[in-house]
Parts: sequence; structure tokens; C-alpha cells
Amino acid sequence: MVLAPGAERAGRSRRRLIAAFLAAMVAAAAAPALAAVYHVEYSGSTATVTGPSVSLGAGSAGSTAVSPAAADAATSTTDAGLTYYQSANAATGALSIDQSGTSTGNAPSRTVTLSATQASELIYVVAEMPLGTSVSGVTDTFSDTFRHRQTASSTGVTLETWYGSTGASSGSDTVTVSFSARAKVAILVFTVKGANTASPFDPSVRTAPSNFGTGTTASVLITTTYPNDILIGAAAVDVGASTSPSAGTGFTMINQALGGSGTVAGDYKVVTTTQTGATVSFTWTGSTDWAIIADAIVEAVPAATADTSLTSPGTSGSQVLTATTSAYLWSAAYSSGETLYPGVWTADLWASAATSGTLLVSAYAVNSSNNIVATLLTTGSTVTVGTSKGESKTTFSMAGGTVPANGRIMVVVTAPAGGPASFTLYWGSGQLTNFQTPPKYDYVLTISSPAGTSWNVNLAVASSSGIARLTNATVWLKVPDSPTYTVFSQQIALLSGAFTKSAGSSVSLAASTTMYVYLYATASSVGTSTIVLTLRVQPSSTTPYSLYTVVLTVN
Amino acid sequence: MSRRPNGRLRLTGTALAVFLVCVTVAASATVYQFFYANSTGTVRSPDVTLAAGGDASGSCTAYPCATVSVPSTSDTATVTLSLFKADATYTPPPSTYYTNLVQVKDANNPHSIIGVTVTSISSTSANDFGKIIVYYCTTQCTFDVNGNIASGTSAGSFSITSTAGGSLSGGAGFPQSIGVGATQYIEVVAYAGSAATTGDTITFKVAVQWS
Repeated sequence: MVLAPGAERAGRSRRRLIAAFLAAMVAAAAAPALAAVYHVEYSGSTATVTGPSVSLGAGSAGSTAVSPAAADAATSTTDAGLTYYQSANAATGALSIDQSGTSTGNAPSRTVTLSATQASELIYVVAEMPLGTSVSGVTDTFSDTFRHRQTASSTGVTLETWYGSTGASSGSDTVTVSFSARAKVAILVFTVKGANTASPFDPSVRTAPSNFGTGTTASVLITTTYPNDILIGAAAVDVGASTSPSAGTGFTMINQALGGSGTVAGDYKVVTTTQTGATVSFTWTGSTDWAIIADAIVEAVPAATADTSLTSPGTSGSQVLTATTSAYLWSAAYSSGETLYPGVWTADLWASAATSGTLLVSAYAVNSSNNIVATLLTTGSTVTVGTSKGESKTTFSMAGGTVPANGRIMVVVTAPAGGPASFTLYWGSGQLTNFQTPPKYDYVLTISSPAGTSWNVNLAVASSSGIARLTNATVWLKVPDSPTYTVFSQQIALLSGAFTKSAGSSVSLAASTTMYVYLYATASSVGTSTIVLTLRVQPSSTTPYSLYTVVLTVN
Repeated sequence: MSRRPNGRLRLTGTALAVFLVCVTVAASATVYQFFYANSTGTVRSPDVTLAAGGDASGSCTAYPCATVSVPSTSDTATVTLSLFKADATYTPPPSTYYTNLVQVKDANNPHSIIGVTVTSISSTSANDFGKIIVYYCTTQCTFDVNGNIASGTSAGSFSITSTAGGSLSGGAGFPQSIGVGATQYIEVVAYAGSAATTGDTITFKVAVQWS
């Protein structure tokens, strides 16, 4: 059958209508599955920012930074205990007066010849002259440079001190002192052996103390920073004195000379302890005008030994310390510098003495040139040594300080004046003389609770870095145990660079109490270790908890 | 409906009847009929209900702390919780953990948790939200010291860092079945931004869709 064109179009239109209808039916059948019956329930929440009830606080050891945002995060920085073994002899000879000479006259200059100077000696010049006259310059055979040190004048006399160094030269040296005008003058020149010629004066006397007056005693007070100094007294006494000056108590006269206008004199005393207001003086009979200058010259420090080590040395040896001489122990150099925190240090000395006595111990931070930049332990701290060779382990509370880049810690062991005739200090295998920086930090943080609620707290390791250098580390919670606070709960333990305990058991923190975080850490090398801990804080009566963040940086 | 030998479609039987109905409906603007579906709405208790979790306290005087109030209808929960400011330079940032905040319980018949969304977020702390992470856990989730899930099964989570809400994702996914007598958990891990001040609030709704 052949359809007319109109009938064909009508058929196509009908088929499209039927197809659309079928599609609608399919869609209607599918719709119930997409629009399944369901229910929605709501939990409406209001989160309110509050301060943490339990708060972290600064410790008494190391350095603590509690987050300024909230007391739920803190960083504590400390140092690991490092043990430095003496691995070579490093000692100085005693500070002493080597050569001296005087000259007087009525002339524009005077000379003194020192017949047998040694290299690296300090040359100290004292000049007495009438009031109105001054020293115009000092020269010597070695062409050393001399610098003016101090001037003191009374009504009748003027006193000046100058200093220089023999440098690398030795032997006969003629020192010439020139004056501003011809006058009746007297000069004293002497050399100091064992002095630090590069930086010769104690930091406390950057300006030498001086005094003047009229009477039979010239005196001035002096205070020092370093223990092992030689104290110097220089005096000008007018012609009215009827006797020559005598050295002050405990001092030894270096030399003196009577000139046309008065007497020039010098005395000295080697000390092994820091001086506070010590008297430097001269006495005579017959009241007259006087002027006095005191000074403190520091000893030369030997260069730090290159083989200072954190490991036991393979060799051994000993060194003898006579009175006023010192031995030196250094740390390795801190390439980036180091902040040293106050703490308890240990000096572990293997030593013997001619007779039982005490060695003096002091400690410093020195720069790369071995100059002292900070005092960690002043002398007066003693280690008792018997006549038989033995180990004397003594602890000292030391101050903090900063070791500059490439600087070191320097521990000085000194045989005191007036003590045993000699000590022998041993080092090396089987006699490991060493010193240890503080390993204990009690405490680095506090954890404080408010009134009314008790809590459960514990520490756990979240992450760490650089811990391979840590030989031993422990974190404790010092638990309140009224009234002593001596009960500890070990929370974290590390041995040979690996954690042996990474989380502590829960400890009760009663209401209105403070708990203390205690750290012990030793290391085998210089560096930085970081241990990130979380402190879980949970009210004892409910289950929500907070994890605080505690970062322990152990340098 | 069948095809004739000449290729034309022929409406037959039921298809024709349905077609006529449709035609009738299409013409309803003028001629129409009413069909009645008789419905009976019966008030019943929901089979899936919300309940306060173990983290809820009666009131808060020390923090961290949360309260959860559920009315007798058991289909809404009003939650308050505390959070502390955190210095984001610390890793992990100090956070508060509510691992049993709101419970989702199934009473009589197995059901399906179709999805969970976080909506209606607002803050009094400008845009410094810190971070609030909402978890839906089919078995209770616990967290390690770095804030990662240590145990339990998370169906998904959503981090609130702005007023933009969204669906929980990233876990086992939805829908999740919930069996008769089973309990599932809405959990929250939270800290506030360091610029927030005490008393600032962040509000949000957690919508649990079930069938």
C-alpha cells in the first residue's frame, strides 16, 4: 500500500507522540527511587573559644617560650650534657716578674736596660716626675709599641704608667722614657712573664684604678674578673718621706728608686682567685704627697688544643701544676655558637698532690681567638685532691653564657698560691680527666591546674628529629606530693638515639596544683635535637581531652 | 502495543487505557477528574535517634568541656563545646578531641545513613576559624597524638575553615548501613585560630540524612 505524503507525516507524528509518552512513563517509574522517603536529623553546635583550664608555664631551667596564643603550646630549649675529655697537656707557667731596672736623673729622658728579656713578655713602665711634667713617649731597642696606661698626680708628684711587649724579640732591651721637659725624674721598668700580651689587662680594670693624697700610706682598691692575675702596684712618693716605701701586705717589692723629686716604686702579687676590693698599697714614714696606680695583668692562655674531643682519647699523659699555674680543658669548637644555660656542671679530675690540697676550678666561654667573653664559673670552686692518684668528681652550679661562633668552653684548673707544692693532673685512657656540661634541667615547664577540677595528664612523642646524637634522654613529670614534690613519673625515655618509651602513663593532677616537667639529656656530639611531645589533658570526671603541644629543643 | 506488518504501531489493551488517562489529564484545564489516594499520617518515634555521647557534661566550668541537649523527639541535638586558640606554627597544633559527642542510634529496624552534611556555619571571629573537623564514625574513632585516626571507622569528615558547608567525605563513604541496636558517632576535633578571642563562637549544624 502506498500512503499519501500527508498520511505518512501523520504516522511519523503519532509515533513520536507514543515514544514521548513511553519516555515519560519510564521517568515516572524511576522517580520514586530517587525521591526515596528519608529523614534528616540535626545536631546544632556552638563552639566557644575558651582559655585552657590547665595551662603550661615557663620552667626554671633552660629557656621556655609559651605560645602567646594560648597556654596550650610551648617550646623549651636546653643543652644536652656533653662530656669533654682532656686529650693533651695544656698548661701555662706562672705569672711572674722577670726583669726590672730603674733610672733617675735630671734629664729630658731616662733609659733602663733589661739584659735578658724573653719573647712575649709584657713591658711595664712606671715614671715619677714633678707636677707639670709628663711622659711624651716610650721606645725600646726592639721598636716595640708602647701605650699610655694611666696618670695620677698629687700636689707634689706625678705618676704615669705605660706598657708594651717584647713580641717575638728577646735578649737585651733598652727602654727609653722621654719627658715633656727636663726634670728630676725616676723610672722603673719591669717585664711580666706569662702575661697575655695581646689583651693584658683584666676586664674589671680597663681603666686602671688610681689614687693620691698626703700621708704615710698610698693605697687604692682593685677588683678583678679573672682569678689568675698578677696585681701590680705603682707609686710615686714625694721627697718628704723619711724612709723608702715598703710593699703592701701580701705584696712583693719589684724595685724602687729615689730621684730628685721623689721615689718611684712597684710591687706585685700573684693571685688565684677573683679579687673584690683588694687593697694595693705602699707604706713609709714621714708624711708626704703620694700618687698610686694599681693594675691587674691577666695570664696568657695557651691555644686551644686541636684534639679536644668528645670521645675518650687513645693516648694518655700528665702534667704538673706548681703554685699559681693552670691547666686548661676545652670543649670542641661550636661552629654556630651556643647558648649555655645555667646548671650543674661536673669536673671529673684524675689528680694527685704533693700534699693533700685543693685545686681551683673556673670556667669561661672564649671566642675563636681564645679570649674570654663570658665567665661561667668564678674561681673559688675547689676540688679536693689527695696524695694518691685518684678521681675527684665535683659538681658546680654554673652561670649561663654565650659561646660565640667557633668559640669554646674553657675550664681552668689552677694550683693555688700557698697550697701544695705541686699537683699532677692525669688525662687519657684509664684516667679520663673531663668536664661535663649540665644534663639535668629541673624543670623546663610547669603544668598548672585551676581550682575545683582534677585532671589526668600524660606525655607522648608526636615526632622527633636529630635524636641520633642523644645518648640518653628522659622526660619526667615531677608529681606534686605534698609537701616535698619529689615523686617522679617517667614519661619518655630514649637510649642511644632511639625511644625506649614513647608515651607515659596517666598521672593525676589535683585541683590547684602545679606539676613540673624535668628533662635529662646527654649527647655524643654538638648539634640540635628536637622532640615534639603532646601533653594529653583530660578532666578526671569527663571524657573530652585536649592534646597540648610541647617542643623540646635540645642543643 | 504491537507493530503491524506494515510497520505501523497499534495501541492495544492496557497501553491504550493508559494513553487515554494521559490524554484525559492533559486536558484537565477544561475537563478533569479527581483521583484520590487516601493517606494516614501516624505520629511515630523515629527509628534512628540522636543521643548525647559520653563527652557531654551537665554544665561546663573547666575546659575542655561539652554539653549535649536532646529533646524527647530525639531527632535534634543542641551541642556546646569548647575549643582553645592554637598557634598554627606548632605541629601538631594543640587541639581538643570530642570522640563521643553525639550518638546516632538505631532502635528497631536496619536503616541507611544516606549522608551527613555540615551547614549553617557562622562565626564571630571574622574569618579566623582555626579548624573544626567533624567526623561521622560508624565505629567510634580514636586519634593518635598527631590527630590522625588511630582506630575505628570514619565514613567521612568535613573541615570547617570558612562559612562554606559541605558533605562529609574522604572516609568509607555513604550510604552507611546502621543495624538494629547499633550506635554510630558524630565526633569533633577542634582548635581556634590564634587571632580569635575568648568568647568567640563558631556555630554549625550537622545534618544526618537517613532512610
